[in-house]
Amino acid sequence: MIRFDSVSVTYGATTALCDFTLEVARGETVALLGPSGSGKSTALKAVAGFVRPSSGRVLLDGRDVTDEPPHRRGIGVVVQNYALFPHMRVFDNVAFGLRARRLPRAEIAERVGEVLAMVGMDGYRDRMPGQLSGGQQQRVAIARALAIRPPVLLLDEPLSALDAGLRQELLGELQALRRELPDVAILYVTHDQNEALALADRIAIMRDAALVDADTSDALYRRPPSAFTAAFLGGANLLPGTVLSAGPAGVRVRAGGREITAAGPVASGPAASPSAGEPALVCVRPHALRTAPHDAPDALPGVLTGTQWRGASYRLTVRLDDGPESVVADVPTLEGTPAPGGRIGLRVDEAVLVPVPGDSPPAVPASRDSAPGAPVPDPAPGAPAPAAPAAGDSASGEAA
Amino acid sequence: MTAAATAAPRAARFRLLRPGSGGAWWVLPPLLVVGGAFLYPLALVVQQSFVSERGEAGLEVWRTVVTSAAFGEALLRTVSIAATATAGCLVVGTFLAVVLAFVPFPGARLVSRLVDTVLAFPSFLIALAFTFLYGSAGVVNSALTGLTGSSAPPLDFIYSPTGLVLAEITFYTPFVMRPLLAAFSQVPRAQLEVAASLGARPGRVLRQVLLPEALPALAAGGSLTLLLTLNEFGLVLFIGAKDVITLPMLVYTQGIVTFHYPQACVVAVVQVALSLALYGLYRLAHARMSGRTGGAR
Amino acid sequence: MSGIQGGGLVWSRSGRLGVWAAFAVVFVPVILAPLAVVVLAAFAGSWNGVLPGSLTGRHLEQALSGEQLASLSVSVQTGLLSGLTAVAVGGWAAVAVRGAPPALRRLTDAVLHLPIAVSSVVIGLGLLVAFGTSPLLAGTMGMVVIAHVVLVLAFAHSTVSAALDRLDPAYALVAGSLGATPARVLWRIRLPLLTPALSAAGSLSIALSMGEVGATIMVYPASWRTLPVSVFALTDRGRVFLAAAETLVLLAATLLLLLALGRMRTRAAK
Repeated sequence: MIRFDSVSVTYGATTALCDFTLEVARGETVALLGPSGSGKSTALKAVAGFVRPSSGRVLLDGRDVTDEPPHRRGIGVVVQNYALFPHMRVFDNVAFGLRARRLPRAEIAERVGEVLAMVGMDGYRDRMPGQLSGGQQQRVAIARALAIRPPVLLLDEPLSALDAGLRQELLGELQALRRELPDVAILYVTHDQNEALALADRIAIMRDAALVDADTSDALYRRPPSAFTAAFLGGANLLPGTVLSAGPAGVRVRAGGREITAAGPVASGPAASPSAGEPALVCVRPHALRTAPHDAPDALPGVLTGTQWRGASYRLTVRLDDGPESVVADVPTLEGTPAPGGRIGLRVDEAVLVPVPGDSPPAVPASRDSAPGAPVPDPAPGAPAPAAPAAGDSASGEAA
Repeated sequence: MTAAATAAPRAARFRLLRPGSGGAWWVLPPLLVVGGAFLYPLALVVQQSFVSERGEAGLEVWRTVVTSAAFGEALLRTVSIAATATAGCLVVGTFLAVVLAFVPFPGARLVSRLVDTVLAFPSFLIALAFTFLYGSAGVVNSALTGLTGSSAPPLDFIYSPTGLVLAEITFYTPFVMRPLLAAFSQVPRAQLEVAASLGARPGRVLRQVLLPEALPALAAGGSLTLLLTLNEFGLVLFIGAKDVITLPMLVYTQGIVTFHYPQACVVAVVQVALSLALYGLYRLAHARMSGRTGGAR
Repeated sequence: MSGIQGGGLVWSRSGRLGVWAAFAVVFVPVILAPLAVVVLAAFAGSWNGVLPGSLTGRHLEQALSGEQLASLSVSVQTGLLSGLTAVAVGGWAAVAVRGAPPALRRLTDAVLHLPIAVSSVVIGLGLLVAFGTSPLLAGTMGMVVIAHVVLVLAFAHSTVSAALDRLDPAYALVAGSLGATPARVLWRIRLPLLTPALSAAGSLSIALSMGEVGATIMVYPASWRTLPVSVFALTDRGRVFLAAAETLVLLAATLLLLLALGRMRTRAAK
């Protein structure tokens, strides 16, 4: 339904969107998820026609609309602060697109009533936008976008202006609305992973004006194809390590001062078949870590640097003996945990450990044919240390 | 290469389609209005200044006007009056604005609204008021003669350059106050409270916190006032002091009273050059000010 | 509210009182007294002491009759005509400039603002030089109106322009996405949202035009004498009380016009 074909958008010297390719099918919800400035809103504006791509094409239902002005695209757009026309009543706001299409009066009234009922705002048709609460304005904005029966609905951070409680409530309403619109392709821009996980069939993770990964929410969470996605979606710990061997039982990695087997599912791509000696990152979700005595042979030893009560669990921050980064662990109880400053061990459930490609500098060639179990070559002295997870890019060194 | 080549026509086409635009030619009608009613006459003024009354082109008129004592005196007078009045406005305006914004009293809001209203008043109102207030039979002189018993009016400045400077300060002080009040309203109250809690006295807070914050507004208000006082005509005309002749007044007398168009045009060109130089300065200060507030948002 | 704890600068009560006293000493002669004295003079029968000797409504009556009344009518017509023209031209420019390339936009902004920098007398002189012998304009009210439009145009334009800058571009974008053509967006969304600014620009333009004297005195024909020019003629002849009364009439008329305009705006909003 929507297709981005290598779309780039530049504002003067800055690139807001770089070589972006993505497809959203009829009836599908795709969330564009990323930190602010990652280009997700720009991608949405390119579909709406609010910005012009400097290169690439935008297609709607197979039709190239790259050069078409917004008013000929027939897309429903809900912007961040709703932009309800302040000088028009709710009814006139919702009817605006229908009047622009010169529909007969009776049909306008009927369709406005229909969409207002759909968002539960039928009783407010004579109010001015200024008399509505934030949540009500949001509902009217959605109704206004739906009134023109668009095949494509674009939602730009529709919940970000609301407070936390209302956001949860409206998230539920959006899920219900989704079920009522089986044929509409929805592009949902957000920086909140909870919204993305709750609403989207697929998530496209964005960063620095580019697409990092796109897949179903489940796949992205369980087998993150890149370090950035692992950290951004669900806040994973990324232990830097070195691949020892890869086999059907999983990838054996030396990380955190121990040899561990990452036996979790592996995304296709470079992470699927790493070679021995390659740097790799092991993705560990905080809730997959358990405390253990620091000298337990199967635990990663370290020093507890802090604890934080989070209601349902405690979050421990542990500096591992091996490696510069701290890891966080969510544990149900503090029993058996030393006071901050004490030594502690962290036991991992190897079945959910996922290797993600580490960033090896392309200058260091990995020996592809080293036999399994062969002695692991130490990283060459002076070779750059593996990059911090946050700085890791989607593409591994090999892919680049 | 090809990408750049196709991007250019697409950009042009797309701009025409942007909502609310309609392309470059829509700005033509207003430009034509300003061109016909302002730029064209101004160009003619410049042209006329190079044509003598006998119709000969050349610098003759310029030579006679520029070397005349009356012109030199008027130029000097215009600049000195404008500069003094602007300085006065800055001092008085800053004081009044600081009090209104940071030492408010009951009714302060009403007072600042009054200041806004005064901005839209004609300047000759002040000239009229000055004759009633400070004229030889005016309120102040009556009060003073009543006190001292002397028969000669003790205050006699109204027909002097000082009188004009005072009148301009009176009229233009609101022009300094308004941007200042706007800038002061952006200063977070908490910043002053923190400064006071750290032991800073009011004078120190004023110097180190408020004035730096207000500097762009002060520059913008000050240069606008300088520009307007340079160009002021109504006050000079209404006060009508025989020996206080400024450049605009000279343009008026040459053009209307004695009908020496070329001479009037020479003075006008000098006047315009002077104001344009200042105007450039004002736009600069203004751009910097809006740039600052824009950056703070 | 800022008033609760002294606004945050001067904290001691005595300090505040001192500052207020100084404020009064500066404020009263600079802003208040000139206004008060003109109002008082408009009603003064004679004024030789500190206060008027007697009060009379005669000046005001005179100011509202005969040629003075004609002047008032001329001023109101000029103000309305040039104010509305300035708002139309300035508003048009402010809207149109947004679709123009940056260079043209800067040029237009600069050209429209330029008249601020030029003395009103010079603008009057320019019009005399350019159109003083034109059979169409010479000796007509057109000269006065053109002069006023040029003088207030910059103010009208920057008022509308500033409002457009503050206007959330999302309104126009969303309206476009709903299928409205650019013309419809302008007519249904932008202009209604700009109504307060357009009305403010109109008020400012009318107020400035009603008080204009420099350019008017250069170009006015005998048949089109504005109120400020009449006031000047009166002061020149020493009839200062009538001049004060006429000034008062001018201020009152301006105020009434602006109130009426504001009234129309709120009615239009409903």
